[in-house]
Amino acid sequence: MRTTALPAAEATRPRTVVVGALLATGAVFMAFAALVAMYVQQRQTARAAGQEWFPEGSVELGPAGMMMMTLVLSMVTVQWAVQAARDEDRPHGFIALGVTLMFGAAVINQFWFVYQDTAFAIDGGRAELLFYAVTGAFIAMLIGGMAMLTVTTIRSLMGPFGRDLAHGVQAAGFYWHMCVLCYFLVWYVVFITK
Amino acid sequence: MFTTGFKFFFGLFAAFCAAALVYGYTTGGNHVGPLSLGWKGGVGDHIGYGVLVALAGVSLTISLVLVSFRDADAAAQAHLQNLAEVLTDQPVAASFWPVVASFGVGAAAVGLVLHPMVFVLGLAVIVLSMVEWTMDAWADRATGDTAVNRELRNRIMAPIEIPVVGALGVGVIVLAASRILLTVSKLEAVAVAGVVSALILGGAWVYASRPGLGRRLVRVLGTVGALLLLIGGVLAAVAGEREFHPHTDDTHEESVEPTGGEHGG
Amino acid sequence: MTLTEPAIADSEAAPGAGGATAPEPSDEAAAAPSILAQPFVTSDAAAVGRLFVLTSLLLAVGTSVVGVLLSLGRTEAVAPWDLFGGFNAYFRMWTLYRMSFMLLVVMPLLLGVALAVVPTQVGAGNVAFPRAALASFWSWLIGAVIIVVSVLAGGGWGAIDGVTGNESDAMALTLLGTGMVIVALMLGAVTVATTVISSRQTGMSLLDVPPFSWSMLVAAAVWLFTLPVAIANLVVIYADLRGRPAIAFGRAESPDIWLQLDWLVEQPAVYIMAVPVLGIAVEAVGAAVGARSSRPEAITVIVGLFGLLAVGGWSQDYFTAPQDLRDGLVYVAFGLAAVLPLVALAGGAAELVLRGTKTPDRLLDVRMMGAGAALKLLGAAALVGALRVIEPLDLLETTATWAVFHGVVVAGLIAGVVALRNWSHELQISPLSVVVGRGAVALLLGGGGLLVLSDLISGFLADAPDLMALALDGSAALNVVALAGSVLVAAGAAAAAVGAVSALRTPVPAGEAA
Repeated sequence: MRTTALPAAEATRPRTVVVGALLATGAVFMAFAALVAMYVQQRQTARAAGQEWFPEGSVELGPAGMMMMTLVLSMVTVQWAVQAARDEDRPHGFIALGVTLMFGAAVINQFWFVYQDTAFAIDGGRAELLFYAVTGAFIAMLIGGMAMLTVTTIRSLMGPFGRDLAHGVQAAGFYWHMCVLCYFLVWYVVFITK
Repeated sequence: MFTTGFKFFFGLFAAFCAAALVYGYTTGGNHVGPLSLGWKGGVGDHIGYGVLVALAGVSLTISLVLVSFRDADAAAQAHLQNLAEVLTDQPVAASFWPVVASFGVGAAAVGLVLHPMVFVLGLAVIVLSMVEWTMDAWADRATGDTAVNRELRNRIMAPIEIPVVGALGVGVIVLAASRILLTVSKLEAVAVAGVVSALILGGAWVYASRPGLGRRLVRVLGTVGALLLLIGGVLAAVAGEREFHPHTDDTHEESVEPTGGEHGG
Repeated sequence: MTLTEPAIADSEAAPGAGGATAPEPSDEAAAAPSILAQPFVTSDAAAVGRLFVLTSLLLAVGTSVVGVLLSLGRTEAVAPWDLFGGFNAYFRMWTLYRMSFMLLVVMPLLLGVALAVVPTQVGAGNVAFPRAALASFWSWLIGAVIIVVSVLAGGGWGAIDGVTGNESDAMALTLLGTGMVIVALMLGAVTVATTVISSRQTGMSLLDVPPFSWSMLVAAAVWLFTLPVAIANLVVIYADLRGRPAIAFGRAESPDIWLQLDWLVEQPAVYIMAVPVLGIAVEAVGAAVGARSSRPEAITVIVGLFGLLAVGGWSQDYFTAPQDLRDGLVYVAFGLAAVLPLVALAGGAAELVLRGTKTPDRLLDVRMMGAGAALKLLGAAALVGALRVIEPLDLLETTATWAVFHGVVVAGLIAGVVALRNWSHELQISPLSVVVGRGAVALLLGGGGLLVLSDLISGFLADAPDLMALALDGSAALNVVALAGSVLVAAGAAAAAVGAVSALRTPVPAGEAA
């Protein structure tokens, strides 16, 4: 039996992976939105009681803005990867996925700097605890997104960068956009309005 | 025009928007806070309002995606791919990696509380499972022939899996056996090593001289032997090593001479 | 073919020509996994569904036995904390009973039924992500084991009377186990929802899917909207617990941990378990009397509306003043409105009976009895829920809360029994015995009814908020009624579990399994 005589895999339902990823992404967003809601509620309670939330000047806006810019750029590179997958353009696909992963790593690195800069102790109080809970959850979500993109990359290495794979990249891209939206919430709620 | 899925999730969106507004205003929201997501004025109870707004956002997104996909209707998808019909049932081969991944998650959870080493082990198992799972998923769709798909997967992964599993197996055996030998007395260690070596040698000889021996029997014997070794190793590790260093108490039988060259490792 | 060309570029030669050739399937390779290996490797969603159903029914027996002990503690025969060996131990069991019935019994039971039934109903041979379904079961099971072991080791969701030794670690394990179980259930929900949306056969629109599949789509959506909020609570509680000594919430030495999570077992979130019950009931009644609804789209709307009213997560009052939330218009509206879809669905079921064949054997069919019993209990629970949100009645922080809970979970158990009878082919088991089925339904209906009734009346009699019913305010007769109810529920759960095991052991007749 020659392998060239083997039947090709039958056409699959192209939207299955995207629909599954969409539902899972919605669930992850709900968890994060609830975390942010708790954060805002506690801050509101503290302020209503006349208490300080973060010490003045302890949370800098500069690094947070850089992270926002980086993640906005990563939204473009993710879409670049999705389009490259649709066009079966392997070099562009790999470059786009690689740059996106680099952006993700850069954001994690920047968060490490923020943690060092603020020097909060997790048992310092409600503000510190919720600061770590919200940002830590975001970092975990971002790592999950990077893992999804990495898996997509591995799969792309296994065969042609075809339409079947394009839906996997599209699903990962959808999740990535949601992560950026979540960071926007962090940026506005934690860093801007402090 | 508007699909059923769209109607359901868009209905949820509308209901959650209305609930968020009413909730915001009835729990202390003022001005146009609940209408402007808190930009101008208060939104009342932040948790309830935040969760309801998030629910509305997720519902709206899902509804828009579903209507653009035509509810992922089979006919619409076939049209998308220029096919007469798309497959609704994708054959998926049996795989134990989902179970391994689950145990990895469990180990990571337990390790998070009990010991960092267990946590790291759990993470390693999860990563390994994800790689293997991805390969299985790829192989399922490689060709239309299930047996060929399996063989393709094995051709790629077996050169990696077999040496790694072999090395791990040897490592576990060495570790377990060494724990046992380090726990029992010197004399007993010699006896255990002799008996186990003789058993392995004897078993190998029997297997070599009787190729017709049932594979299932060999598997069972091998598994039982490995389990016994593993259990013995765990029990020995719990019991701890015997005393190796010189002791002032001359009556301690398990002490070894400084020149004995035995170092507990 | 293009997908595999790089990987098998060396396999162009014909077999036997010396090059690597494509393998012929060997007997061993083609063999199905052995019966012992199947639970660990299967990609058949029906097998995963059976695992879920069987395991959750066995856990139902254990959980209901805990319920009997808790009820025994309310009878004043012995102080509840003495029965369990301390106040903390009592609190652990009290919270375990509630969490377990929801996360380890009813939700996985209905999810298991869905994994087996939904693919066949929408014309797919399997669920959308079979391996994810298997991972869902095992993650759920491992999480369940972590929960039970850690609670028995002194963990649980908080403590009242101080914490000693390693109990804080055990509590952290309970929290992680809870998170694992919730994530596993969500994974199963994603699998089922994707199957309904994306694996329907050609020509079947979402409006055409049978009521149970539609109810599972709604339930999965509601689970995915509600359970993540509990994950967020767990993240905060865990960070707080492990970052101690820290702050004013989530401390181990108080019931604060439970108070951050209790919204999950209270209305409206408690109704998320009940959404699939509606689909099961409608289909069971239709199958029993051999009729189809004249207005299937009405059933679709009713189930969707009930799902909307079951969404919780927003209704947690730990971080805010309870009166702000619980007296709020939205909370009251959700509580009152939940009755409406159930009344409408009862009307739909009645229409089916009127249109169908009304012979005695059909009306006494296990499916008919079970569907009626589940809807009655669910209706009773929703009615109590509506009473509970009426402020002048002062029922909010009383045992009326658990009347709603008991009505919903026992209705879920009964729906599981009905499913075992109605979809034995899809589950690939023998039909549940009629005697066992009727017995289980009767016991569960009786027990659930007594529990709902006693909890509601105790709520009315309570002078002050008393969620744990510790005041022992002289309503001794009611407490005995509650004990009788718990015993009946335990007996019903045991009957259902025995019936399921025996149905599993009986071989499916050839030709029927397909």
